[in-house]
Amino acid sequence: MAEKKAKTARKKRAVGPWQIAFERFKKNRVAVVGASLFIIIVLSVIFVPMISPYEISEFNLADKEQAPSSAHWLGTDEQGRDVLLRLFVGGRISILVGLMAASVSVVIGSLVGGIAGYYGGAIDNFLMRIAEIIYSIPFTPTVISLSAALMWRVSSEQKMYFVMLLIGILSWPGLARLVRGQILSLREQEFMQATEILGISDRSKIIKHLLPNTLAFIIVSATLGMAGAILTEAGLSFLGLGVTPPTPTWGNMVERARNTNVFRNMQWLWIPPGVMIMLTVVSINLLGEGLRDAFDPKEIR
Amino acid sequence: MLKYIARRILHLIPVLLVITIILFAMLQIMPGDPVNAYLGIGSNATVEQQQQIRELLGLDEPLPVQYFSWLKRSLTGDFGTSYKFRKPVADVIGKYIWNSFYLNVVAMIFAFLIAIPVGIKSAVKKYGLFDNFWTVFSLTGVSMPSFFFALILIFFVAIPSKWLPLNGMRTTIYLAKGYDSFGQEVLDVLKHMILPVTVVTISSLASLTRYVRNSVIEVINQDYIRTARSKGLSEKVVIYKHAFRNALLPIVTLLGMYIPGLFGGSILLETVFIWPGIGHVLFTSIGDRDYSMLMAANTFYAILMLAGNLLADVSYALVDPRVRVK
Repeated sequence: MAEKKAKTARKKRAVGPWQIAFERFKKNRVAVVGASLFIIIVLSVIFVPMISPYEISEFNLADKEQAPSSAHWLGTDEQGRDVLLRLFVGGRISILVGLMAASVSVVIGSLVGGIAGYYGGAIDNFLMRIAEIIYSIPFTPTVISLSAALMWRVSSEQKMYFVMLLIGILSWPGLARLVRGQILSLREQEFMQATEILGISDRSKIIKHLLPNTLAFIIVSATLGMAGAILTEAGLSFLGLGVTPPTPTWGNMVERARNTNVFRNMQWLWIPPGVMIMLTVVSINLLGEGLRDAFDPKEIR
Repeated sequence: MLKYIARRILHLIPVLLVITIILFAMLQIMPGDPVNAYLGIGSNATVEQQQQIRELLGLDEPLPVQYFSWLKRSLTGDFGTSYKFRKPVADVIGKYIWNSFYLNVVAMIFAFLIAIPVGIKSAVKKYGLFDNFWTVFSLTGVSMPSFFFALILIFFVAIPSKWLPLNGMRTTIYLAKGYDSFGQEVLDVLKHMILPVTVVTISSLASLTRYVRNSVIEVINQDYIRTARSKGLSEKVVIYKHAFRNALLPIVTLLGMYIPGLFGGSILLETVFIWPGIGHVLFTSIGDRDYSMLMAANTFYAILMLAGNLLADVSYALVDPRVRVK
């Protein structure tokens, strides 16, 4: 049904592939729910801390360890800090780390994949060998050991940047392989012969003509990669090897549950951040799957 | 075929070497002095004694020399001594991988037993109610942080039940006085396995059902399935005799890929459940600065990973002869 409509739409006026994808995405109800949920989460982590009557650095030992009430909707922690505020400020950091880690991985992955696919030969061999090595490094044990090795040199505020880089640098090979494969097949097509005749430089051939054609893959991979990165950061911070307090993230807020007293008696400290991680990752995954279906050329034609 | 496998293995050797160099370099930047870790907390060794230990452990040599002596010893199966366990690292790993293995193998059996029928049924009635339910289930399973799911299960299931253990692998009383019989030991361990197995099963089920579903869908779209249908075969015969048998090939490939991974425990889960597997050992050896242990455990995980990739390639080549020619 969606295909038919897309076809008639194309006949009426010139519709680009991006518009087709957008139309298809809008019709996918699950994907729209995912996208809306994600937008709501992003807006609330931005605005809730602004309208909160509390300050993130504010603590009040007289009010510590209070159960949820009208003054503190999600209670307070052992230093009397408002959990609701920390939850949304933590969300800013968790989402930002996920976004930046995915960006690092997308930039490295698409450049390496693009260069390897375009030049081929020795360069391709060399770059893909590096990709294979990084791909074969066992992800979780290495991330954990590397954080432990480097964390002590990094101050608490800088740890989030460190975690972004670490996750990004270890997770690009999958995308690089994908982009390389795409470029290999695109390189043989006629429009690339045209760029050859026009004498366009290699750099703009790769960046202006080849990579945009793989953009659909890159966007999907970036979305799903962001979901993965948020989970990785949460896991690392849960083990105490990611972003550490006083900077809140959802992962290090759940980490409080490793204390038996908090785990058994103060659920308001660890259940809400865990639920937020899940909601965010579900919404991003729904969005990513929806984008994948919307871009899928097999279903457009 | 043998030539292909040999070539693949030769190809992996430099990859493994580079990984061990990276891992070795990583240990050098870790905080703390391994000599102090070796001595343990509260030792009153003199500077001379510390120096002696440093020489004994070979830590006074230049780094490349240290790496090559590690490599030479490792090739003979000697991964050094664990500072914490005071035992050869190989023995410690050899003991703890089995705890991880028991957990993973039970979870894998459950996951495959559920995923195969569910995947087939979802594929046959694509976008039906059943398929949509499992789509949502898989998505939630992939998106759920395993450690949080584990905490939720402990809090909402194990604590109220008063019967399920919260963590560990054996009941403390039995650890002290020993089991009366082998049957009792098996039952006790099984009881401790229920929650961790649930978490591992659900998280692997999520991707597995999708995988089975997609491979069955791919086969159903083939021409020979249309032929089988137009011959007038019953739908049951078409699906189970023609479609599923062919969809089984990628599933078997996946099974092969899973096998090495069975020996590597999930660090997060084993930490939450205090399950004495290799993942837990790796995590605690970071805190204990148990360098030989950490190096060996990381190398072990890398070998598992490479073995998984190798098995996947080899089984693809077995299934699809075109791969071998390249």
